[in-house]
Amino acid sequence: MTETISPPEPGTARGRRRRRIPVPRLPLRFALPLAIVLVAVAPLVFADAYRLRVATAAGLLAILALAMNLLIGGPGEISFAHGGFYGVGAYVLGILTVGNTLSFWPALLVATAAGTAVGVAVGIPALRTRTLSFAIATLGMGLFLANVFGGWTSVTGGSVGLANIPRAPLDGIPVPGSIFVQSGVRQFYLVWLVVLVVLVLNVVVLRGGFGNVLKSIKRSEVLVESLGFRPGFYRLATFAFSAGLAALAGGMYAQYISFVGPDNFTIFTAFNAIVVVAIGGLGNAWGTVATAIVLTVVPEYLHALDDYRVVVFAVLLFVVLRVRAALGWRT
Amino acid sequence: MGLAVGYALNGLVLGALYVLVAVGLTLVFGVLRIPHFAHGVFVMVAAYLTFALVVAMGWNLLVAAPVVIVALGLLGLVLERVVYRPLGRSGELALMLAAFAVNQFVQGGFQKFFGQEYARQVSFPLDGSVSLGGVTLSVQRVIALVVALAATAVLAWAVRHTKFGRATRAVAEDPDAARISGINVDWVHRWVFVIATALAGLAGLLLATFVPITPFLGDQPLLVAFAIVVVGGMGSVVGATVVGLALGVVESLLAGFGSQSWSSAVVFLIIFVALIARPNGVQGARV
Amino acid sequence: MTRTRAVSRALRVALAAMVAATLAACAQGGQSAGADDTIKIGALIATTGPAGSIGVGIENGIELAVSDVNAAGGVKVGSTSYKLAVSHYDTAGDPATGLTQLTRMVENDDIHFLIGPDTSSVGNAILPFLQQHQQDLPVIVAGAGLGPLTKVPSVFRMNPTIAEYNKQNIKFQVALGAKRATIVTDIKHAGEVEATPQTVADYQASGIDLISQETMQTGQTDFTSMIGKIRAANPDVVFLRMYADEQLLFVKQARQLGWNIPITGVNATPLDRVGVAIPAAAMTNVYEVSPPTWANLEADGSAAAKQAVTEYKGRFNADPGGLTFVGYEAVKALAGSLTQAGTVDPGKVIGALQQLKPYAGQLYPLNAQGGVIFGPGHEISVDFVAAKWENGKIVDTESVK
Repeated sequence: MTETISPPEPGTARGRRRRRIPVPRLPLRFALPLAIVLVAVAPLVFADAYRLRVATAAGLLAILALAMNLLIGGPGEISFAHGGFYGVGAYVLGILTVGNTLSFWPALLVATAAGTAVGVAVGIPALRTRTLSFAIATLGMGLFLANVFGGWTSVTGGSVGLANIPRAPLDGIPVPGSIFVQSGVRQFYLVWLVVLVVLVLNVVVLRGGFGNVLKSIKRSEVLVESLGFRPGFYRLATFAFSAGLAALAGGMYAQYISFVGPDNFTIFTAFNAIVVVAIGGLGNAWGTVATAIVLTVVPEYLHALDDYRVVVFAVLLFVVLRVRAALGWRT
Repeated sequence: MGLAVGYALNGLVLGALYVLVAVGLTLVFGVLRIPHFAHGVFVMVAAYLTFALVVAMGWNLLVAAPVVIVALGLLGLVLERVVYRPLGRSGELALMLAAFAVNQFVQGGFQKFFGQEYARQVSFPLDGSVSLGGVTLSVQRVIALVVALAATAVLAWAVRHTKFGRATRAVAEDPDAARISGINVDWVHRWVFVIATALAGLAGLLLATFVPITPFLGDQPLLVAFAIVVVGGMGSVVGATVVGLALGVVESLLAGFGSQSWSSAVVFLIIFVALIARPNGVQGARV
Repeated sequence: MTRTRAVSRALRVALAAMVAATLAACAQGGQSAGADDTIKIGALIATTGPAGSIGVGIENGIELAVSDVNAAGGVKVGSTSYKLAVSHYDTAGDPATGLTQLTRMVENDDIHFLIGPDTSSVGNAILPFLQQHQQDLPVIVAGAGLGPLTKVPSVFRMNPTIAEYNKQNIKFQVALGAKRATIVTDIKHAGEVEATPQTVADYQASGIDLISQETMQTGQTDFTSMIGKIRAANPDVVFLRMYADEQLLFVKQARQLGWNIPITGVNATPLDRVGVAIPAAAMTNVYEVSPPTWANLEADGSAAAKQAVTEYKGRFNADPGGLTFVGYEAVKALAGSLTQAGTVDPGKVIGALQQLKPYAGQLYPLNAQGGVIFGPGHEISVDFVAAKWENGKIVDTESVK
């Protein structure tokens, strides 16, 4: 099913090849119903507010990571500006709903559109660069946006942030899980519904004709151009779509936490998403979601380690990379 | 006018410290192709080591300097062997994530053991300031500027004119071709990494006398250095030097005439624009 | 090839083991319940992340107070003596983490006495949760300056608000005879940013002309250009509204440039930082206006403060942090309210906190406001002191009136 990007081995002179163990795959027509059932029954298993919160946080990370996955799996670029786009979505939703300018759903739509628009504005100049230059150009933009969130006090509230952001109006919607847990179930379902939608979008975009063009662009832009496609358009469209999804994730985050402040929309936010996608298998949407879950849940079980948590987590990350290297999976 | 010259001179010092971090990074970037997000923690470790030697053990800063630089080089040697070489073939992203893991590991460890106390600092042995045409600059800043520029100049010369430098450039250009023509690529990788971490050691040593020593000391210089490296041309020592000094001056002028809290935002915007105007960096070539 | 395969098989087994361990950990149930004669307290403090260095100081204060209380026989509630047990919930200063950890504490670990938070952003994120639990979750804020927190009926604050710090500082500047002031504000310090309008109004009321306002950010290391700019405007006092590290750096760089203007700050720099973080000679004409530190109290002859400082140093191998007293006193106040309530019912303890009278083991010189510790706004009241530094020594400490 989802394609894992495996560029040709670099020059054989670099040393012996290793046998590659294939990445496991499952077709969408089996995987999607399975995922829907899993999401549906999950609150029955995690029948307490805390685990439900952890699961919801995992979903929020998954949406942002899926946005990044589209960019890494598609044009193969890494963006550090996605923390900024995430922030654009969060702030736009916050500003619109706190001031009661718009109700939640249209505000979420505007937030996503705003992220897409910023994505276009950043993408048009930035996509003139490639790979590491692109990564650092977006790094500059990510740092700039973080400074704007923290410094433009009259609009964003500066370091004080925006508080009392209303949550999505979900009360009254009948939910089976609420038999067991009163609060939090609706948020869980809302967030994971968005995860599933974004996941399907990922798979469709990366697999379909659009995805094939993207893949070909990575091999040879000249070839794609000679076939009558405009590589620049495809790259920009993917980047803007990815930015829009990051803003959607930001909007979901803002309504869930009811608060936005500048510390949560930095280049480290983008870095986290990149880590998830890299471990999840670069372009592998299912792997991305699975990794988002593991990377959210594991630290919760490291609480016993207290302040050593960060150190242990770093070691685990390295072990994962080492295992992948030993399996011959390129990252 | 005098004010502007003062700000600019101060910016040169700021820029020189950025450059010192950036030149090590640019070598690792250009030659080993590692986006080394852990470079900043080496600067931080060096600052702590300087503190331990100078303040806790009472050494002279001049005696401590070679020890810190050599120790950091050795640390680089170990790290290259244990962390990066085993991942050599799994791609740039894996190396970047490994660097991130190293960053978290060291920073997390330092925060656990030293983070609960107030920030440390090393005082510079020479006090006083010099006046140049109405502009006051402390002796410490003048010395830091000279040391940083001298180290960078030596490095730039070595890359261009020594045998090791030529081998380094060959490896950066095309590792496979270099290997065929008899260059020991692994050996070049190892020593470039050692030199880069030793330079981080020098940067940390100098920074320890300027700023409070915390586990996060290297973060901000690293981010700026990354930008300098790419804008200056990956692997280009000269490019990194020019861009680093220019950014320092711009930031300082903005802080003096505009608003300090917005100066870094403007700098990052400049980076973005510069990269787009010159996607391969101002220097264009690598190393 | 065989070796590679053997290695990869071993690694696959390791990976599978990790996944299995994760799943097993997930399947594991909640925490075991504490003993009957124990009262469980949760500390929601950032001990990692950028705010970690301040948070650890607060958390150590909490630890110290808990062991003091237990060593003295525990908390007397009615006829029973309870031991205190504290669980730590690290927020890392992150809003989402803070909310998740608070949920874990209350819903899973069944803890209904909260000390914290220490950062405003976490305070904002948990505000709706605290409102929901205003009947059954007594909270003593330890560090966070966020205004709206204490509007919740169950929430009390052990630290003065930032606006109060600034107000006392301005009072002192008036006493100093200042006419023209410049303030430098850390725009990453949410409490300061929130307090700015009030502080500007306080300046207007004070008669001091606020000639310029500069901004900087936590972590900034070079103030030279800004100092040049401020100097050109020629104020007669500079008021630094920033954390301790940046404050020392600012003073150091100003003195290096040969500028000896009076500088006032809100932090209490421990003596042993001078000569290490800043040359002693630079620490001249510097005034720090803050609540008294344990060291100040010790110098005033408080045996309890002396013992606390000694214990702290022995146990944590460091000097008490700037907000250590807040964590320490929060535990003591909670213990006092339990005793005064005569019950361990959290709902009743909220009422007791509202009416909290001076309690046993109180170390800090809190002013009783109409006979109670937490005034009508759920804030404490304490007399600030101004420490005057000359040549790296505090030459005078006087209370600000």
